[in-house]
Amino acid sequence: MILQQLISGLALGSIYAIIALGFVLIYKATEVVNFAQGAMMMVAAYFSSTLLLTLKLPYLLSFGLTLVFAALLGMVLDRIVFRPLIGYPLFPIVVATLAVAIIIEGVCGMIWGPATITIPSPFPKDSYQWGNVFIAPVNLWVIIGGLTLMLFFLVFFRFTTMGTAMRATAEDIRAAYLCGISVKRVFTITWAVSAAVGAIAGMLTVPVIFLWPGLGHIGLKAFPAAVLGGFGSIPGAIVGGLVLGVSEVLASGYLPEGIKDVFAWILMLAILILRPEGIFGTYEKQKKV
Amino acid sequence: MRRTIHEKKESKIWIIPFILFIYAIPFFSSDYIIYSMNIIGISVVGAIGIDLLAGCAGQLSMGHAAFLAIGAYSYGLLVHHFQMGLLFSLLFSGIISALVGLFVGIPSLRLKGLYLAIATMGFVFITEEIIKYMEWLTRGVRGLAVPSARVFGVVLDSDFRVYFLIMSVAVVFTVAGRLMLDSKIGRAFIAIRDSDVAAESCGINLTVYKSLAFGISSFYAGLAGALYALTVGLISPENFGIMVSIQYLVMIVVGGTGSIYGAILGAIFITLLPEGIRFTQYVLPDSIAMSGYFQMVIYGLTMLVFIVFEPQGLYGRWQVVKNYWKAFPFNPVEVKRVAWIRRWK
Repeated sequence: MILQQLISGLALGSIYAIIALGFVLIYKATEVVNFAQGAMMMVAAYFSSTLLLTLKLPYLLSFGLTLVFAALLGMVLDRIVFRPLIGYPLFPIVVATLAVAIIIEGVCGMIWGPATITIPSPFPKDSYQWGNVFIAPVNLWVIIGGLTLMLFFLVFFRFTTMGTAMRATAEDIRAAYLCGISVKRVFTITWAVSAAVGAIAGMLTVPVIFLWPGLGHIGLKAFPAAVLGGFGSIPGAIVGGLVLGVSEVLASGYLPEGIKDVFAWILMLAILILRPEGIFGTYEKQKKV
Repeated sequence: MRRTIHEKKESKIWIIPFILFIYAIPFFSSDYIIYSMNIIGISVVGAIGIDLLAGCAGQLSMGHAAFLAIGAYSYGLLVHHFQMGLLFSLLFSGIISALVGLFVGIPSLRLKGLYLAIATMGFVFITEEIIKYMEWLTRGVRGLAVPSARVFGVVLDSDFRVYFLIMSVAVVFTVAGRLMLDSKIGRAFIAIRDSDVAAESCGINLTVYKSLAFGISSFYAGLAGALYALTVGLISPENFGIMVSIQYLVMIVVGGTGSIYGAILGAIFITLLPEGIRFTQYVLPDSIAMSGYFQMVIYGLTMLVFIVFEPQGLYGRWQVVKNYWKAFPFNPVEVKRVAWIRRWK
């Protein structure tokens, strides 16, 4: 029983983790806190639903096209909205991302309507049985996907030129610029990659959760995950997401009803009061004036 | 109010006819306009509250909806269960909200910027859930009915009668906010916003003033929530979701952060925006113009346009225009400087 709950918790947590990964990528490189991550995930899921249901394209092709679409969306957002805001303090940037989230939700509602949509799952229906524990293939793939993404980005940030450039940009925009890093390109690529990660989260989520224009609000749940692991840390986002998912499933099993929806936030408040830097992270450094 | 010798005190005499005009409006307006004015008055009180905290003291809080909810429910319960008098309940719901605000302000001493925003966002969700959970007291999602208030023997049962109460509260607390900004407290808030290290080294007690910012802001929010409960008559947790917090933040961004006039302009603008959007139905087909999603898009676009093109908000633009005409024939020609990084200032 508890093992079964652990598995479904891990699957839920992986979804949180992948969304949180999107936040963390943008935060690491551009110091923008993207409240629109959930909305970007939703619009990608809608796009894939059109490809799969209306145009009846094969799954892998639509997956690829959705990633491309999301990356383009990220680039456009960066160019139009966020590049003019470089150097602004936190408050206007937060409100700008909220505005983007609202616009995306409105546009999706206008195009696809308020009805819920389900997307067929590409994975087999039958659960794998292991002892008396059942694992749905969707859950398994979600967990695998989350871990793969984490490993990929760990390697990417540590060993590639672009990753190093991103870390340098996050550290100090001007110094990075003086070292010859094309800051604008770094920002564009970061937004594209982050939006693509959001699209992966969307494609993985939607077979499990209904798709509707308000789905983006699940993105807010990824904030506790990111804070739990330490904002700005990639393994932190994944571990935070997993911890959050497991504890949420356990809370809904053993604690009074109604607490499930806010358990993530209670946990986060506790973490913020006791250890604001999270499990892995470093607390926000004193900003240079 | 201490001013430097070079600063000439501006004449504020226009305020008196303006207030008189506000009080005269309901005598020649339709019910609908009076209702809109009531909502604007409530929004003004709430927006000044969040402006003092986020705009002046620089503590980005997304928890304003929670304080509105606490104010509204305290008012509703005080009137409903304990049959308290109107003015007493109004004041008391503000005070309850302020006490909770002081309590929530404690983490703000350790948290900064982003973390504070996320923590206060969590507080909104938790408050919403608590209201749903304490069904025996708050009637949960079914909503709490708030009876009409009675003050000095007059029953406030129509928008017309409530109007004078709301506007009086709005005027009093606008003036109070303005005076507070010019006092030691307001200067301390602004110093903390600009740099809390520098503020502390100037002898400003961060613990006291950050908590105070939270307390005052939540007092305003509680008052606005109580007025809302009084006007609408039925409150449920859905009225106080995270979107309400965002809406109040948008008000001060649109109006101009850090100034009372800005908060007022923003409150008026955002409250009337849906009305403005309704005019598009003459141009666009009904299926688009009347849909809630279209409103969302316009709403979001308005936010973005203001942040990107008009970061100082409506009030900032007004000041630019005012200064232009003050210096009129002798305006210096502005040389556009190519800035690599644009600054918020």
